[in-house]
Amino acid sequence: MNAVEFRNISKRFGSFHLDDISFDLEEGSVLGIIGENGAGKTTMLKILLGFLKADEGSVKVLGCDNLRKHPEVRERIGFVMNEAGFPDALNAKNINYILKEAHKNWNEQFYSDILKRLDCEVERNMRSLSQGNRMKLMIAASLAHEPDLLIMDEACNFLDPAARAEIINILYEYTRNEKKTLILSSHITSDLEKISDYILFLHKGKILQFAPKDEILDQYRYVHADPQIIEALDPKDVAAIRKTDFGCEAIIKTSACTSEMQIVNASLEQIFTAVTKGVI
Amino acid sequence: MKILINNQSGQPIYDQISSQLRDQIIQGDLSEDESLPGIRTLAKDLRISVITTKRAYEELEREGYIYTVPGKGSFVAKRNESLIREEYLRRIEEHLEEVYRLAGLLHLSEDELKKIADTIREADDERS
Repeated sequence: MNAVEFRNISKRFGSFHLDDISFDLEEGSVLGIIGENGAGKTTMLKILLGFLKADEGSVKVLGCDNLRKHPEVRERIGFVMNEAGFPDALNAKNINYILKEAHKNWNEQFYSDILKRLDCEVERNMRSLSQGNRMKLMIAASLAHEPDLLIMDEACNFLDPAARAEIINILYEYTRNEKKTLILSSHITSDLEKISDYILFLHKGKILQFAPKDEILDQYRYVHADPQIIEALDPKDVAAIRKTDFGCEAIIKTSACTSEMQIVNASLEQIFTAVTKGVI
Repeated sequence: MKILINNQSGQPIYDQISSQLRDQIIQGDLSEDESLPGIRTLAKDLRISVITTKRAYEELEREGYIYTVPGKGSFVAKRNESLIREEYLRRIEEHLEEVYRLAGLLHLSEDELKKIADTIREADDERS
């Protein structure tokens, strides 16, 4: 069963155009969304959550095509956007007190475990917390009601690498359950590279690629070679190239690699910047 | 059961898994009808995608090394001697192709190659 189905979703805002977005996400998968600023990631996620209405197309979430009319489905969805979600005056304990009544399933133990693992300040209220700590609190609260679909839109931007590594660990454990689906949108491609099953490349409002992460990583390699060798390749196989006085580095299709090159795997970040901007 | 993933090698991860499991099955480290870890458990433990472990298992099943029982998981298939013989013959061919390729680079004659083979066989015999 699909957790999410996008069918020809389009939305226009002035010059920005989210164009013909279609894809299916199986239940139990982790989707990583990568795209430059303004590519349409947040717009797409807001349409998914029912916060924005699309101009064309339809979206089904957990089998439901109209979230606004189905609170019992909304209850199964959790999300973290990267804006402060809770009132300034509340602290972690207050939030627990309120949300455990608001949600059907609220796992108080899980909530406090996450806060502890993330080293989050629990006494101070939202106003006096650093942005990073605010995000930790929101992440804990979104996980604590054990949603079947969890969406995190650049939720980790303010977190240090150790906190992010801990969150990825928490998410790995969370997604052992085959009923849990995760959608992560992030600039921190190393996080997405770790945990994603599928990657969606969004570029200027369009889907550039939607494919299993490992397939994308297998498609390109990062190579060093003599410039003549790279220049002799079919230009379609070369995503990005940089020449120096000492040689040449390039991101090229794996199928174009030869033994005259020094070859290593390309990271998701390298592939993304090469394919969208031609930059290494 | 040991599975070690190398993220830096060019070998696709699904291939690393199926190769290592294939070796362990052929060598008898895994016994007939022994249960394999679930696709999802393996993926989460190894920190890789479920799609990848699924692909590795599908390949092994297609080749006849494992079988899957819906709702129960995957298990090592009955030891198929001709399958194993096929696999070893395939590897011998691969190695011989490489031997001939290298011999070609040195312009070694059949006789010179045969001399090397004889020396190795004698040393092996002495050892055993």
